[in-house]
Amino acid sequence: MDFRPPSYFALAALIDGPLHGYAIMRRAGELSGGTVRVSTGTLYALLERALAEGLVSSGEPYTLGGRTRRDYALTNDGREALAAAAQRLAHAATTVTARLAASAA
Amino acid sequence: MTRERLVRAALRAWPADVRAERGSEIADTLLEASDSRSRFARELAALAWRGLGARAGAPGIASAVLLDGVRLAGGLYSVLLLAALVRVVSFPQAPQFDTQLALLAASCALAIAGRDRWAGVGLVAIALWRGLATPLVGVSWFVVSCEIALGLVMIASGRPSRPRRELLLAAAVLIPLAMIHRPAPLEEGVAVLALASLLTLAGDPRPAIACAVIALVVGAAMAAVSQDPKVAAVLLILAPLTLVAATVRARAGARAVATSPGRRR
Repeated sequence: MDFRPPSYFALAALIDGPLHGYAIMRRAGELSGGTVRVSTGTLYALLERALAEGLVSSGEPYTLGGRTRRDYALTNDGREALAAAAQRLAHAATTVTARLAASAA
Repeated sequence: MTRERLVRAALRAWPADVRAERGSEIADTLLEASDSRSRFARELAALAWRGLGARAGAPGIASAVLLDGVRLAGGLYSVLLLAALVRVVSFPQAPQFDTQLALLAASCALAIAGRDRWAGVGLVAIALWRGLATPLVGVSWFVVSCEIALGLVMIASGRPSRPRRELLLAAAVLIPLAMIHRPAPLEEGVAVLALASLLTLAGDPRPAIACAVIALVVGAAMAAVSQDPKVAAVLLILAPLTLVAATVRARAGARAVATSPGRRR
Protein backbone atom coordinates (compact mmCIF):
# COMPACT_ATOMS: atom_id res chain seq x y z
CA MET A 1 0.00 0.00 0.00
CA ASP A 2 1.15 3.52 -0.83
CA PHE A 3 1.73 5.43 2.44
CA ARG A 4 1.16 9.11 1.78
CA PRO A 5 0.99 11.32 4.88
CA PRO A 6 -2.80 11.06 5.42
CA SER A 7 -2.73 7.24 5.07
CA TYR A 8 0.38 6.98 7.23
CA PHE A 9 -1.04 9.04 10.10
CA ALA A 10 -4.52 7.48 9.81
CA LEU A 11 -3.07 3.98 10.24
CA ALA A 12 -0.68 5.23 12.93
CA ALA A 13 -3.75 6.45 14.83
CA LEU A 14 -4.65 2.79 15.39
CA ILE A 15 -1.35 1.83 17.06
CA ASP A 16 -2.71 2.33 20.58
CA GLY A 17 -5.94 0.43 19.97
CA PRO A 18 -9.18 0.27 17.95
CA LEU A 19 -10.91 3.55 17.05
CA HIS A 20 -14.01 4.54 15.08
CA GLY A 21 -13.85 6.63 11.90
CA TYR A 22 -14.17 10.12 13.39
CA ALA A 23 -11.75 9.27 16.22
CA ILE A 24 -9.19 8.12 13.63
CA MET A 25 -9.49 11.46 11.82
CA ARG A 26 -8.95 13.41 15.05
CA ARG A 27 -6.08 11.23 16.26
CA ALA A 28 -4.33 11.45 12.86
CA GLY A 29 -4.51 15.24 13.10
CA GLU A 30 -3.01 15.18 16.61
CA LEU A 31 -0.19 12.79 15.65
CA SER A 32 0.80 14.96 12.69
CA GLY A 33 0.87 18.08 14.84
CA GLY A 34 -2.02 19.52 12.87
CA THR A 35 -0.20 19.33 9.52
CA VAL A 36 -2.42 16.56 8.17
CA ARG A 37 -6.19 16.74 8.00
CA VAL A 38 -7.74 13.48 6.86
CA SER A 39 -11.07 13.91 5.08
CA THR A 40 -13.90 11.40 5.46
CA GLY A 41 -13.57 10.33 1.83
CA THR A 42 -9.82 9.78 2.14
CA LEU A 43 -10.28 7.85 5.39
CA TYR A 44 -12.89 5.42 4.08
CA ALA A 45 -11.07 4.90 0.76
CA LEU A 46 -7.97 4.07 2.84
CA LEU A 47 -9.93 1.76 5.14
CA GLU A 48 -11.42 -0.10 2.16
CA ARG A 49 -7.93 -0.75 0.74
CA ALA A 50 -6.45 -1.59 4.14
CA LEU A 51 -9.29 -4.05 4.85
CA ALA A 52 -8.82 -5.69 1.45
CA GLU A 53 -5.07 -6.04 2.08
CA GLY A 54 -5.56 -7.34 5.62
CA LEU A 55 -3.79 -4.38 7.28
CA VAL A 56 -6.88 -3.46 9.29
CA SER A 57 -9.82 -5.39 10.72
CA SER A 58 -13.26 -4.00 11.45
CA GLY A 59 -15.75 -4.72 14.19
CA GLU A 60 -19.53 -4.81 14.13
CA PRO A 61 -21.44 -1.53 13.73
CA TYR A 62 -22.98 0.09 16.81
CA THR A 63 -24.79 3.30 17.64
CA LEU A 64 -23.31 5.93 19.97
CA GLY A 65 -24.87 9.34 20.51
CA GLY A 66 -27.28 8.71 17.66
CA ARG A 67 -24.44 8.09 15.20
CA THR A 68 -23.52 4.82 13.52
CA ARG A 69 -19.98 3.76 14.48
CA ARG A 70 -17.67 0.87 13.76
CA ASP A 71 -14.27 0.28 15.33
CA TYR A 72 -11.18 -0.44 13.27
CA ALA A 73 -8.02 -2.15 14.55
CA LEU A 74 -4.52 -2.60 13.18
CA THR A 75 -3.65 -6.23 12.32
CA ASN A 76 -0.16 -7.74 12.69
CA ASP A 77 0.35 -7.26 8.94
CA GLY A 78 -0.72 -3.65 9.35
CA ARG A 79 1.80 -3.11 12.15
CA GLU A 80 4.57 -4.59 10.02
CA ALA A 81 3.61 -2.45 7.00
CA LEU A 82 3.51 0.65 9.18
CA ALA A 83 6.89 -0.19 10.77
CA ALA A 84 8.43 -0.69 7.31
CA ALA A 85 7.04 2.66 6.16
CA ALA A 86 8.39 4.37 9.29
CA GLN A 87 11.83 2.86 8.67
CA ARG A 88 11.80 4.08 5.06
CA LEU A 89 10.87 7.58 6.17
CA ALA A 90 13.52 7.56 8.93
CA HIS A 91 16.18 6.38 6.47
CA ALA A 92 15.17 9.06 3.96
CA ALA A 93 15.28 11.74 6.67
CA THR A 94 18.70 10.58 7.93
CA THR A 95 20.14 10.53 4.41
CA VAL A 96 18.93 14.01 3.52
CA THR A 97 19.95 15.46 6.90
CA ALA A 98 23.44 14.01 6.52
CA ARG A 99 23.77 15.36 2.98
CA LEU A 100 22.61 18.83 4.07
CA ALA A 101 25.10 18.81 6.97
CA ALA A 102 27.92 17.67 4.67
CA SER A 103 27.20 20.33 2.05
CA ALA A 104 26.99 23.07 4.71
CA ALA A 105 30.36 22.12 6.23
CA MET B 1 -31.44 20.40 0.27
CA THR B 2 -30.38 19.27 3.73
CA ARG B 3 -26.85 18.22 4.58
CA GLU B 4 -27.97 14.64 4.99
CA ARG B 5 -29.42 14.57 1.49
CA LEU B 6 -26.27 16.10 0.01
CA VAL B 7 -24.15 13.44 1.73
CA ARG B 8 -26.46 10.70 0.43
CA ALA B 9 -26.07 12.15 -3.08
CA ALA B 10 -22.25 12.21 -2.78
CA LEU B 11 -22.30 8.64 -1.49
CA ARG B 12 -23.83 7.56 -4.81
CA ALA B 13 -20.30 7.86 -6.24
CA TRP B 14 -19.19 4.89 -4.08
CA PRO B 15 -19.59 1.23 -5.07
CA ALA B 16 -23.00 -0.20 -4.11
CA ASP B 17 -21.57 -2.77 -1.69
CA VAL B 18 -19.65 -0.10 0.26
CA ARG B 19 -22.77 2.09 0.41
CA ALA B 20 -24.85 -0.82 1.66
CA GLU B 21 -22.36 -1.81 4.35
CA ARG B 22 -20.92 1.53 5.47
CA GLY B 23 -23.17 4.23 4.00
CA SER B 24 -24.73 5.41 7.25
CA GLU B 25 -21.40 5.16 9.10
CA ILE B 26 -19.61 7.28 6.45
CA ALA B 27 -22.46 9.82 6.41
CA ASP B 28 -22.45 10.17 10.21
CA THR B 29 -18.65 10.54 10.30
CA LEU B 30 -18.74 13.23 7.62
CA LEU B 31 -21.51 15.18 9.36
CA GLU B 32 -19.62 15.02 12.66
CA ALA B 33 -16.37 16.18 11.03
CA SER B 34 -18.05 19.12 9.25
CA ASP B 35 -17.68 21.86 11.87
CA SER B 36 -18.16 24.68 9.36
CA ARG B 37 -19.88 25.29 6.03
CA SER B 38 -16.57 25.41 4.13
CA ARG B 39 -15.35 22.22 5.80
CA PHE B 40 -18.62 20.53 4.86
CA ALA B 41 -18.17 21.56 1.21
CA ARG B 42 -14.59 20.22 1.16
CA GLU B 43 -15.63 16.99 2.86
CA LEU B 44 -18.48 16.52 0.38
CA ALA B 45 -16.22 17.06 -2.64
CA ALA B 46 -13.56 14.70 -1.24
CA LEU B 47 -16.20 12.06 -0.51
CA ALA B 48 -17.52 12.10 -4.09
CA TRP B 49 -14.00 12.15 -5.56
CA ARG B 50 -12.72 9.28 -3.41
CA GLY B 51 -15.90 7.33 -4.14
CA LEU B 52 -15.26 7.52 -7.87
CA GLY B 53 -11.70 6.35 -7.21
CA ALA B 54 -12.95 3.43 -5.10
CA ARG B 55 -15.49 2.53 -7.77
CA ALA B 56 -12.79 2.54 -10.50
CA GLY B 57 -10.42 0.40 -8.46
CA ALA B 58 -12.86 -1.88 -6.70
CA PRO B 59 -12.00 -5.56 -7.20
CA GLY B 60 -14.78 -7.86 -8.34
CA ILE B 61 -16.91 -5.13 -9.87
CA ALA B 62 -18.45 -6.42 -13.08
CA SER B 63 -17.45 -3.42 -15.21
CA ALA B 64 -13.82 -3.76 -14.07
CA VAL B 65 -13.85 -7.46 -15.00
CA LEU B 66 -15.29 -6.63 -18.43
CA LEU B 67 -12.70 -3.92 -19.00
CA ASP B 68 -9.91 -6.28 -17.94
CA GLY B 69 -11.22 -8.80 -20.48
CA VAL B 70 -11.04 -6.21 -23.28
CA ARG B 71 -7.49 -5.29 -22.20
CA LEU B 72 -6.58 -8.95 -22.36
CA ALA B 73 -8.05 -9.06 -25.88
CA GLY B 74 -5.43 -6.49 -26.95
CA GLY B 75 -2.58 -8.69 -25.70
CA LEU B 76 -4.05 -11.87 -27.18
CA TYR B 77 -4.69 -10.16 -30.50
CA SER B 78 -1.06 -9.01 -30.64
CA VAL B 79 0.11 -12.62 -30.10
CA LEU B 80 -2.27 -13.93 -32.79
CA LEU B 81 -1.26 -11.24 -35.28
CA LEU B 82 2.45 -11.82 -34.68
CA ALA B 83 2.05 -15.59 -35.13
CA ALA B 84 0.01 -15.09 -38.32
CA LEU B 85 2.47 -12.58 -39.81
CA VAL B 86 5.53 -14.69 -38.99
CA ARG B 87 3.89 -17.71 -40.64
CA VAL B 88 3.27 -15.91 -43.96
CA VAL B 89 6.66 -14.20 -44.09
CA SER B 90 9.18 -15.48 -46.63
CA PHE B 91 12.54 -14.08 -45.63
CA PRO B 92 14.29 -11.88 -46.54
CA GLN B 93 11.53 -9.27 -46.28
CA ALA B 94 11.43 -5.56 -46.80
CA PRO B 95 13.16 -3.75 -43.90
CA GLN B 96 9.94 -1.95 -42.91
CA PHE B 97 8.14 -5.31 -42.54
CA ASP B 98 10.94 -6.62 -40.32
CA THR B 99 10.64 -3.48 -38.20
CA GLN B 100 6.86 -3.97 -37.91
CA LEU B 101 7.39 -7.56 -36.76
CA ALA B 102 10.00 -6.45 -34.23
CA LEU B 103 7.62 -3.76 -32.92
CA LEU B 104 4.77 -6.28 -32.67
CA ALA B 105 7.03 -8.78 -30.86
CA ALA B 106 8.04 -6.01 -28.42
CA SER B 107 4.34 -5.19 -27.90
CA CYS B 108 3.59 -8.86 -27.10
CA ALA B 109 6.53 -9.04 -24.67
CA LEU B 110 5.35 -5.86 -22.92
CA ALA B 111 1.78 -7.25 -22.61
CA ILE B 112 3.13 -10.48 -21.10
CA ALA B 113 5.31 -8.47 -18.71
CA GLY B 114 2.20 -6.59 -17.54
CA ARG B 115 3.17 -3.26 -19.20
CA ASP B 116 -0.24 -2.82 -20.81
CA ARG B 117 0.14 0.88 -21.53
CA TRP B 118 3.33 0.46 -23.56
CA ALA B 119 1.96 -2.70 -25.23
CA GLY B 120 -1.06 -0.63 -26.28
CA VAL B 121 1.19 2.10 -27.69
CA GLY B 122 2.95 -0.61 -29.74
CA LEU B 123 -0.34 -2.02 -31.05
CA VAL B 124 -1.64 1.43 -32.03
CA ALA B 125 1.68 2.24 -33.73
CA ILE B 126 1.59 -1.01 -35.71
CA ALA B 127 -2.03 -0.44 -36.75
CA LEU B 128 -1.31 3.13 -37.87
CA TRP B 129 1.82 2.00 -39.70
CA ARG B 130 -0.08 -0.74 -41.53
CA GLY B 131 -2.88 1.65 -42.29
CA LEU B 132 -0.60 4.36 -43.69
CA ALA B 133 1.99 2.15 -45.39
CA THR B 134 -0.41 0.08 -47.47
CA PRO B 135 -3.50 1.24 -49.34
CA LEU B 136 -6.43 0.06 -47.23
CA VAL B 137 -10.03 -0.07 -48.32
CA GLY B 138 -13.27 -1.29 -46.78
CA VAL B 139 -12.80 -4.14 -44.36
CA SER B 140 -9.07 -3.44 -43.84
CA TRP B 141 -9.93 -0.07 -42.36
CA PHE B 142 -12.43 -1.81 -40.07
CA VAL B 143 -9.75 -4.21 -38.77
CA VAL B 144 -7.18 -1.44 -38.36
CA SER B 145 -9.74 0.71 -36.51
CA CYS B 146 -10.48 -2.20 -34.17
CA GLU B 147 -6.74 -2.71 -33.56
CA ILE B 148 -6.40 0.99 -32.69
CA ALA B 149 -9.42 0.76 -30.35
CA LEU B 150 -7.95 -2.29 -28.57
CA GLY B 151 -4.61 -0.50 -28.25
CA LEU B 152 -6.29 2.60 -26.80
CA VAL B 153 -8.12 0.48 -24.20
CA MET B 154 -4.75 -1.01 -23.20
CA ILE B 155 -3.22 2.48 -22.96
CA ALA B 156 -6.07 3.60 -20.70
CA SER B 157 -5.76 0.51 -18.50
CA GLY B 158 -4.24 0.05 -15.09
CA ARG B 159 -2.16 -2.78 -13.72
CA PRO B 160 -3.24 -6.20 -15.04
CA SER B 161 -3.98 -9.10 -12.72
CA ARG B 162 -1.66 -12.10 -12.43
CA PRO B 163 -3.93 -14.69 -14.17
CA ARG B 164 -3.91 -12.50 -17.30
CA ARG B 165 -0.14 -12.59 -17.56
CA GLU B 166 -0.05 -16.36 -17.18
CA LEU B 167 -2.71 -16.78 -19.86
CA LEU B 168 -0.90 -14.44 -22.26
CA LEU B 169 2.36 -16.28 -21.69
CA ALA B 170 0.66 -19.61 -22.44
CA ALA B 171 -0.96 -18.12 -25.55
CA ALA B 172 2.37 -16.69 -26.73
CA VAL B 173 3.90 -20.18 -26.62
CA LEU B 174 0.95 -22.34 -27.69
CA ILE B 175 -0.53 -20.33 -30.56
CA PRO B 176 2.70 -20.11 -32.66
CA LEU B 177 3.48 -23.76 -31.89
CA ALA B 178 0.01 -24.82 -33.03
CA MET B 179 0.32 -22.74 -36.21
CA ILE B 180 3.71 -24.26 -37.04
CA HIS B 181 2.46 -27.78 -36.33
CA ARG B 182 -0.65 -27.39 -38.47
CA PRO B 183 -0.56 -24.35 -40.75
CA ALA B 184 -4.09 -22.91 -40.70
CA PRO B 185 -5.59 -19.51 -41.42
CA LEU B 186 -5.77 -17.03 -38.57
CA GLU B 187 -9.56 -17.21 -38.75
CA GLU B 188 -9.61 -20.92 -37.89
CA GLY B 189 -7.31 -20.29 -34.94
CA VAL B 190 -9.69 -17.60 -33.68
CA ALA B 191 -12.65 -20.00 -34.05
CA VAL B 192 -10.86 -22.62 -31.95
CA LEU B 193 -9.96 -19.93 -29.41
CA ALA B 194 -13.62 -18.80 -29.28
CA LEU B 195 -14.80 -22.37 -28.63
CA ALA B 196 -12.14 -22.89 -25.97
CA SER B 197 -13.13 -19.62 -24.28
CA LEU B 198 -16.58 -21.03 -23.53
CA LEU B 199 -14.92 -23.66 -21.34
CA THR B 200 -13.33 -20.96 -19.15
CA LEU B 201 -16.67 -19.28 -18.38
CA ALA B 202 -17.23 -21.33 -15.26
CA GLY B 203 -14.11 -19.82 -13.69
CA ASP B 204 -12.56 -16.51 -14.69
CA PRO B 205 -14.74 -14.76 -17.31
CA ARG B 206 -11.94 -12.48 -18.57
CA PRO B 207 -10.31 -14.92 -21.04
CA ALA B 208 -13.76 -15.65 -22.49
CA ILE B 209 -14.45 -11.91 -22.88
CA ALA B 210 -11.05 -11.43 -24.58
CA CYS B 211 -11.63 -14.28 -27.02
CA ALA B 212 -15.16 -13.12 -27.77
CA VAL B 213 -13.97 -9.58 -28.58
CA ILE B 214 -11.35 -10.93 -30.98
CA ALA B 215 -13.84 -13.38 -32.52
CA LEU B 216 -16.31 -10.54 -33.07
CA VAL B 217 -13.72 -8.37 -34.86
CA VAL B 218 -12.39 -11.20 -37.06
CA GLY B 219 -15.87 -12.65 -37.70
CA ALA B 220 -17.26 -9.27 -38.80
CA ALA B 221 -14.26 -8.68 -41.07
CA MET B 222 -14.68 -12.14 -42.64
CA ALA B 223 -18.41 -11.72 -43.13
CA ALA B 224 -17.85 -8.36 -44.84
CA VAL B 225 -15.78 -9.98 -47.60
CA SER B 226 -17.72 -13.29 -47.66
CA GLN B 227 -14.60 -15.22 -46.63
CA ASP B 228 -15.16 -18.70 -45.11
CA PRO B 229 -18.87 -18.09 -44.40
CA LYS B 230 -19.16 -21.10 -42.08
CA VAL B 231 -16.25 -20.03 -39.86
CA ALA B 232 -17.53 -16.43 -39.90
CA ALA B 233 -20.99 -17.61 -38.86
CA VAL B 234 -19.54 -19.66 -35.99
CA LEU B 235 -17.60 -16.61 -34.78
CA LEU B 236 -20.53 -14.21 -35.10
CA ILE B 237 -22.89 -16.56 -33.25
CA LEU B 238 -20.45 -17.63 -30.53
CA ALA B 239 -18.99 -14.19 -29.77
CA PRO B 240 -22.17 -12.37 -28.63
CA LEU B 241 -23.36 -15.45 -26.70
CA THR B 242 -19.99 -15.66 -24.94
CA LEU B 243 -20.05 -11.93 -24.15
CA VAL B 244 -23.54 -12.18 -22.63
CA ALA B 245 -22.61 -15.28 -20.60
CA ALA B 246 -19.35 -13.68 -19.45
CA THR B 247 -21.18 -10.50 -18.39
CA VAL B 248 -23.68 -12.54 -16.37
CA ARG B 249 -20.77 -14.47 -14.83
CA ALA B 250 -18.89 -11.24 -14.00
CA ARG B 251 -21.98 -9.75 -12.31
CA ALA B 252 -22.53 -12.92 -10.32
CA GLY B 253 -18.88 -12.83 -9.25
CA ALA B 254 -19.18 -9.17 -8.22
CA ARG B 255 -22.28 -9.96 -6.14
CA ALA B 256 -20.48 -12.90 -4.52
CA VAL B 257 -17.52 -10.67 -3.58
CA ALA B 258 -19.83 -7.94 -2.27
CA THR B 259 -21.79 -10.28 -0.06
CA SER B 260 -18.85 -12.46 1.07
CA PRO B 261 -18.85 -12.55 4.90
CA GLY B 262 -15.06 -12.84 4.99
CA ARG B 263 -14.40 -9.74 2.88
CA ARG B 264 -14.47 -7.21 5.67
CA ARG B 265 -12.57 -9.16 8.27
